Amino acid sequence: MTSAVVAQREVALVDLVDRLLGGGVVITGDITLAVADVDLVQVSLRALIASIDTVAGEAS
Amino acid sequence: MIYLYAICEPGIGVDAHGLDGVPVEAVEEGGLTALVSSRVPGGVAPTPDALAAHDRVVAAAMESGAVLPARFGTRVRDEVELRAILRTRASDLARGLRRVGGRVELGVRALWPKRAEPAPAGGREFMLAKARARAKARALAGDLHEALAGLAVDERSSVLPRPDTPVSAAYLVERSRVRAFERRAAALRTSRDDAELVLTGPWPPYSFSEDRDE
Repeated sequence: MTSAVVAQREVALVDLVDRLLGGGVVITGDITLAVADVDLVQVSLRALIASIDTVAGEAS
Repeated sequence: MIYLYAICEPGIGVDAHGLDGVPVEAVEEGGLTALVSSRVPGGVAPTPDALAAHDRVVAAAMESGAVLPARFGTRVRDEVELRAILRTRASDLARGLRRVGGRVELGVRALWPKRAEPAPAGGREFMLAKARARAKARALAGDLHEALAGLAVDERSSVLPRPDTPVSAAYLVERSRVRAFERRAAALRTSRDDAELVLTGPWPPYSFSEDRDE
């Protein structure tokens, strides 16, 4: 059960990106990413994730 | 600079390493615990490793109590500033912790099925295809809400956040109902052929750290 959950968390990098860059409590104005940069980062990270997914898919 | 991972119930400690393997420390103030790493260099780039490290700290903390994850990349100048923020926002942060305590976030993401659609022939075709996709995505979002919202205390849903994703939804679920939620979501996944449903979690309550209703 636990390992299944962990495995599920590992494959969910795209969900990680959405949650960590778009969610979470904002307690100060000093955040590394300006809101305008978030979309850009998401696009480039997703491209990276897509290539990782492809490799993982081919391996399994 | 001090890097902030999460605000937690008092007394929560985490035996985990943070960004770049640096230790995680607990700062207590105003009836809250902040999980931080000091001496984090200026910019924190959102690499997969850094995102995973942030998530690992928050998820570990969630094992021992209520946690409000901080937005990735949140830094404060020093401990004096951190303590001042915790004191100033003590009541709304405590309210947020009560809202998410004993609950986890579960994600349901829909993807269009992997079958090749013919490329639209022209501008009009393209617009029609786009409108059809939007209508299908809305209907799918409605069906997800219908099936799953009853097992959750709160939900966030966005329709067509990306062209390949008709719906991305997050649900705040009591720990005791996680299994029931997962079973219902799994049943939904096998019953639909118009979309692939990806279930993720349990997550810390990233999507529920700010209360829209307040």
